[in-house]
Amino acid sequence: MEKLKLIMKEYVVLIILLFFFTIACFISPNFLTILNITNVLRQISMVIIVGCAVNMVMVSKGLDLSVGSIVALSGITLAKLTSGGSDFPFVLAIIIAILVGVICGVINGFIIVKLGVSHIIATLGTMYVFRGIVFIICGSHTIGSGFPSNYDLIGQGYLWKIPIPVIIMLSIFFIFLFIEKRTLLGKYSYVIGGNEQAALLSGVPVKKIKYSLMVISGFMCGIAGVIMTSRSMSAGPLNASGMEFDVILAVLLGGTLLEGGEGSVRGMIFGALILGVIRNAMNLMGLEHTYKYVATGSIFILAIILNKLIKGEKLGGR
Amino acid sequence: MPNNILEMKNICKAFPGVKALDNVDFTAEGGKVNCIVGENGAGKSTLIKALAGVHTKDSGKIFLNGKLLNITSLTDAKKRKINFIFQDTNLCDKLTVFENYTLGKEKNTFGIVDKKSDYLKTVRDFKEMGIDIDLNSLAKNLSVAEKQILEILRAFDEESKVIVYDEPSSSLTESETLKLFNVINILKKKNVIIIYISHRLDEIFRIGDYVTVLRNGKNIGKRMKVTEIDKNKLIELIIGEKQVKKTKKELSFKKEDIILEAKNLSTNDLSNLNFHLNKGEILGVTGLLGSGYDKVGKALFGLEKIKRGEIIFYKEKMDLKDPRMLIRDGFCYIPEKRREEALFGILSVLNNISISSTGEYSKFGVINSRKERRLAHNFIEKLDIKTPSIYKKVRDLSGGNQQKVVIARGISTRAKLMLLIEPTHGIDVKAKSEIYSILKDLSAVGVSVLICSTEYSELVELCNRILIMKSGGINKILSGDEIKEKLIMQSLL
Repeated sequence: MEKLKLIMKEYVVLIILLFFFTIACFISPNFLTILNITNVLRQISMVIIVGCAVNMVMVSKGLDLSVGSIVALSGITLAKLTSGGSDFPFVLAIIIAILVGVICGVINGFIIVKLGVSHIIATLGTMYVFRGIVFIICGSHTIGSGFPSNYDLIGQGYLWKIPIPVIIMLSIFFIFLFIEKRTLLGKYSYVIGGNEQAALLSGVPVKKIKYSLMVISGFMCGIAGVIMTSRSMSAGPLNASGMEFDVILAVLLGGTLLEGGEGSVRGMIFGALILGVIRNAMNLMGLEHTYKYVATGSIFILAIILNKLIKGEKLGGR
Repeated sequence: MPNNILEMKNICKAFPGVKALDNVDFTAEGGKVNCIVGENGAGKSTLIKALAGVHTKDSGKIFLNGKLLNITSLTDAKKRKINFIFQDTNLCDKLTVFENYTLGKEKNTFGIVDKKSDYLKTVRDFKEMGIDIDLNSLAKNLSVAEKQILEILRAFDEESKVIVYDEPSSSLTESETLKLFNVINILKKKNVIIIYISHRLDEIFRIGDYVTVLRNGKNIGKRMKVTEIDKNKLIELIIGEKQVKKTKKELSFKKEDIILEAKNLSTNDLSNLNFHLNKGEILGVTGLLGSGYDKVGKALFGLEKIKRGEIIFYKEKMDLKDPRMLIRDGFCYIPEKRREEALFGILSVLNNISISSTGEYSKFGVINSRKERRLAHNFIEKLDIKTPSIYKKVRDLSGGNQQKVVIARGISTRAKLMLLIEPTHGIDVKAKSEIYSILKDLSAVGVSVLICSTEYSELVELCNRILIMKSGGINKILSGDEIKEKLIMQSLL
C-alpha cells in the first residue's frame, strides 16, 4: 500500500492524463485512431517545445509571459523574408527567424537580471512590445502567399510516417531531459527556485543562470515560430496569441510549482498532452468555440485539485 | 487591591534529543519586574514560548491569580491580555506610527474608522509614557530603537495583565533604554506583571525586582530578590561549576602562520577592526546582541557594505563582493538562519551537499552523477549525517543533521577559512558536540575557523582566542588561560 502510494505520487500527472484519455475514448469513436493521435501530437508540439524551456524558467521561480509574442515575431520574420517570390535563401531565413527569438530572450534576460525587474512585469511588458512589432512588420495583414516550394516541409512533412514537428519536439524533449538531469544548468535552476538566497551564498552563479534560462526560452520560441509558419503556410499578427497561457497551463499541470524548486520536463509533457487531449475531444464532440474556454479552464482547475488529492495534500490551506 | 500573580509549575518540555525544560517553576508578581536569566539554551525562551502557547508543554500547569490558564496561541494570549514582545519587530512598514499603534483596535462605527479620536488617544498615551516619536512618520523610517519602543507601547493597553519582554533592549542605546525603563516603571504602578528576559545583567540590577536563574532547562535555586544578590554571585549561578576539560592543545603561532588580516575594517555597524587569524586557529567572536559580533563574519563574506579598511587573505587583498569568487578562493560561510539562507528545504540531501563543489564532479557543465553521489556519501559518512537516503528531502532531517549537511557543503570545496555564525543554534546537545569535534578536526588539518557565537561554553570549548565586541569595536581579546565563561561574561558588561 505504501509503495502504491509512492508510485501514485511519482506518476500522478500520467494518471490524470490516462483519466482524461479514457474519457476521450468513450466520448468519441474517432479519438483513438492513428490519424487523430498524430494530429493531437502535432497540434501540441509547439506548446511542448516552448514548454521545455518555460518549465525550467518556472522551476527557477521565474515566469515568461512573452513566449506567444516571440513565437509570432519569429514566425513573421520567416514569412516576411521568404514570401512574395523573394529569393532569400530559405535556410538562412530560418536561422535569422530563430535568432530573432534568441534576441528577444536576451532582451528579457537583460531587463530581468541587469535592471532587476521581476519576471512577471518584464515579460508582461515585452509581451506587448514584441506583439506590437509583429503588427508593425505585417501591417495588420496576414502574410500568406508566394512562399517557395517545399516551404511546408518542416510544419507538415513526415519522416518515417511521423510528423516532422513531432520529431523535432521529441528531440528537444530529450535534450531538455538531459539538461535537467545531468547538467549544472539543470541543477542550478532547481537550486535557485528552492532558495535563491542560499543559492547565492553557496556560490551558484544566480544571475548568469537566470539570464541563460530566458535566452533559452527565446531560442525555443524561435524554433516554434518557424514550425508554426511552415505548418500554416502563413503568418499573421494574431499568431500564437494566448500561447503563453497554454504553455503555463501545461507546466503547472505537469506538477511544477509556482513557488519554484519542483517540477520536471517529463511532467510538463504529460501536462501538455492533457491539454491536447481535452482540446481534441472537444473538437470531436463539435463543442462550440465559446464553450471551449469555459471547459479548458474548469478542467485545468480540476486537474490541479486532482493532483493535490492524489499526492495526499490537504485542500483549503491553513 | 489584590496582587496579580502568575505561576508556572513543574513545566516540562522535551525536543527530540534534548530536555529543554525539566520541572521548571516560575512565579511572577504584579507590580514587579520579574527577571529570568540564563545562558543560551538554558531554557528561557522555551519557557516563555510554553507560556505563549507557541510550544505545547509536555506537562506542568500555569495559573493566573489561582485560575488554571491554558493558552494555545499568541492570538489566544493576546485575548487574555497577556502580551509578548520579542526581539524582532512586527510593524507594518508602510503605515504611520499612530496607525501602527492603533492597529487592530481602531475606534470605528460599522468599519468606518474615527481617525481623529484615534490620533488624539495616541497623543495622550505617548505623552503619558514620555515618548517623543513623530506620530506621522512611516514605521519604516524609524530607527531600530524607535521601532522597538513602538512595539513595546503597542503591546500595552489599559487592561494588560502580563507583559513579557524577551531581550527588548538588545538594540537600544543607553538613552533609549532609559525610555524603556520609564515605560516599565509606569506599568509597574498599574500593577501589571512584567516578565523581563535579558542578557545584560546590569539591567537586571537596575530595573529588576526578582530574578529566576535557569541552567540546562532546570531551576537553579529559588527565585531571589535582586537586592539580595550581587553580580558575581549571579554569574556563578548562571554558568555553574563546570569541569574544565583541558583537551585543547596550546597552540603557538608564528608570524608566518597568519592567513587572514583585517585592517581598519569598517562597515555600518563595525568601526576600525584590526585582527588576524592564524592557520589552523579557531577564533571566537562574541558580544551582546547589537554589539556587531555577528557582523564580523558577515562582513568577511561580503555581506556587509565595507566602508573602509581591507582584508588580506594569503597575502592578497580580497575584494569582498561575490560569494562565488570567495568560495573559489577558499572561504566558506555557514549562516545563522539555516532555513532561510543555507538550506534548500525541498531538495535532496544530495543536492544540498554537492551544490558548492560542482567542480569536483562536472566537466563543461555536464554532471558525472556517480562522482556526485560518491562525494555526498563520503561526507555523510565523514560527518555521520543521519539520513535514510541521499534522496531524502533535507527539510525532513533533524536540525543537527541539517547543520551537518550545511557544513558538509561548506567544506566540500576544500575551504581554507570557515566563517560560522551561531553554528549550533537550535541543535540538540549530542549533535552540538559532534559539530564541535568536526570543527576541531578541521582546525587540526590546518583549516582556520572564525565563530561568531553567543554560546560562551561553546567558545570556551573550541577557541584559541576570543574577540569580545562592544558597540561595533573590539573591546577585549581573550586568549590562553583567560578563556573562561566567567571572564567572557564579565568582559561583556
